[in-house]
Amino acid sequence: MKTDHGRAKAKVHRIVTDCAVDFLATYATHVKPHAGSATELVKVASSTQSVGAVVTFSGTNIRGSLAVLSAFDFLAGCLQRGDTPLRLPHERVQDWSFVRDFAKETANQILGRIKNRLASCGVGLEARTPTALCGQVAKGMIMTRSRNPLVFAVGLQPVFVLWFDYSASNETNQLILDGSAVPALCEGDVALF
Amino acid sequence: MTHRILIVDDSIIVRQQIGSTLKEAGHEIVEAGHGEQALLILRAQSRISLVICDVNMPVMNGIALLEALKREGLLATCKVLMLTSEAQPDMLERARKLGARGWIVKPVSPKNLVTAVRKLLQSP
Repeated sequence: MKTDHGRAKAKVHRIVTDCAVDFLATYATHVKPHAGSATELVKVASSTQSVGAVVTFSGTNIRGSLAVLSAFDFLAGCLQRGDTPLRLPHERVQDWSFVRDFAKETANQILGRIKNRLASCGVGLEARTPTALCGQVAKGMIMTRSRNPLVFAVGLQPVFVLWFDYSASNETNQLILDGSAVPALCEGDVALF
Repeated sequence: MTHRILIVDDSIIVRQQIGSTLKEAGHEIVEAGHGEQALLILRAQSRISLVICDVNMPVMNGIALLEALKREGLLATCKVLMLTSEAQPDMLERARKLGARGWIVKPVSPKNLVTAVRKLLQSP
């Protein structure tokens, strides 16, 4: 039976989009998919104020990477909102080490959500440790990504860009199509033994 | 009662967030950036009651740390709660068999974290 790669890719696209929106919502940051171009935000990567992260993954008959890119101010702002805002002096939250770390954790947690949903389809992924990228190095990362990232906006302003690039076998794509994509455990679930 | 809790995560942000929540709940916090650092701290008999541990970390991950703690008999003196973005049941079961006492899928609300920690620390 021929697998409809287009439908599988569209389903993955929806999963990735939902995972990114849900993750940022935990930092009281409500974004929506942005249909327009990410050009302006991607131009930020030419400046010293861009922050991003990339994490690669692999599994049986699937491999790829997830990359995120945003501006320093946006990520630093996220850190000061949500259930557990960093209660640090403003100048420390504005510290690059925290914002870089948050970029890595963002990539890590979004990929974690995606992993859990694909696992419920029978598709297992192993992720590597994320790498943070800033400024001109982030620009280099962007040039290796696919042309059509997912762009998220607050209002009409693009604030966050995500690339989810992967390749998968026909069998894996069929698993994705057939699976529920509902994780066995949800974010925030607590199990005590 | 104040307990000393070791937070093991390669993310500074996560250590700060979890640490500040538990400090506000009256606990003393120690931090480690990966499993190997955590193991050194625990071997030093540092009165740690609870370890809150990520799974995916460089150098030594959370599952490898659990294996080492079990091998060295250190689980007799401290409990381990996994705090991770992983949610696969087989991984959870593996951690349980190695001696972990709980599993939380990130991100966790401060209220649920404090409740889980209190229940674990009160349990035998």
